[in-house]
Amino acid sequence: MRDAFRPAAELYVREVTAFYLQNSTREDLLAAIAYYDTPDGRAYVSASIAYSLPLTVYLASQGRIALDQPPSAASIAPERYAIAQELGDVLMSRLHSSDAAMLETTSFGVAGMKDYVTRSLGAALEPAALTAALQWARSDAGQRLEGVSAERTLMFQSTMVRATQQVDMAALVARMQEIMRESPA
Amino acid sequence: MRFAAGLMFFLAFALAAPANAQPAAAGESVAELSHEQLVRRYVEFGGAEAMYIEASVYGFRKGA
Repeated sequence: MRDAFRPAAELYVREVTAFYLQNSTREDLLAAIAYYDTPDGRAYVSASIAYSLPLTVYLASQGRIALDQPPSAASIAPERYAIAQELGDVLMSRLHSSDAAMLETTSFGVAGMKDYVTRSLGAALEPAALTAALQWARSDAGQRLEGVSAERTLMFQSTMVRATQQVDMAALVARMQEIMRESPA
Repeated sequence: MRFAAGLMFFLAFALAAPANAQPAAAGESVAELSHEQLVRRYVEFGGAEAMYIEASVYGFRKGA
């Protein structure tokens, strides 16, 4: 199954790399690597991926597949939750208006997304890691590389359309049906 | 196509940041890397590719 998605993944990486070759400076990239190549940076990336996968499935299924809820705000230490709220604000401010509009068509909405992200990151990260993520997100380099950008939004959207076209869905479904017919060993 | 739309959102939102930061190799000086090498480090060729695949497989298995 992974092989079926490999061409799409290669196209995605190729196009994102090409975009940043044209739309980044050496100084900003060095600043980004200086943050991400740290224990706090790696913890933030891991936490982001952890909440993004179930969120993707929830949104893609239009809510038919239930979303596992992160811990409640009341169960997160106040200091952590306060920093996470600030981080959630910054992350939501990165949404391009077209992405925000798409979110508002779901039962989740931008407010629901912010609450989910805030609680997920607040529960997963220590205050130091939350603070480091906030500092990076607010930095000039962080804003230039990852802040709201019509050009980057368009690149991601068009890249994803082209990448999806690379997936042989018929072959994928056929393989899934084969697996389902196999008797358990 | 619903899955595609969801995956698009996930990647645009979550992978705006590098997917899988690779620690610098021992003795490597990041400051000596070329612009292209820095971009590849930032995008994380292997990490982003693997993450894309894992996100796709995860979504597909969940039936989204």
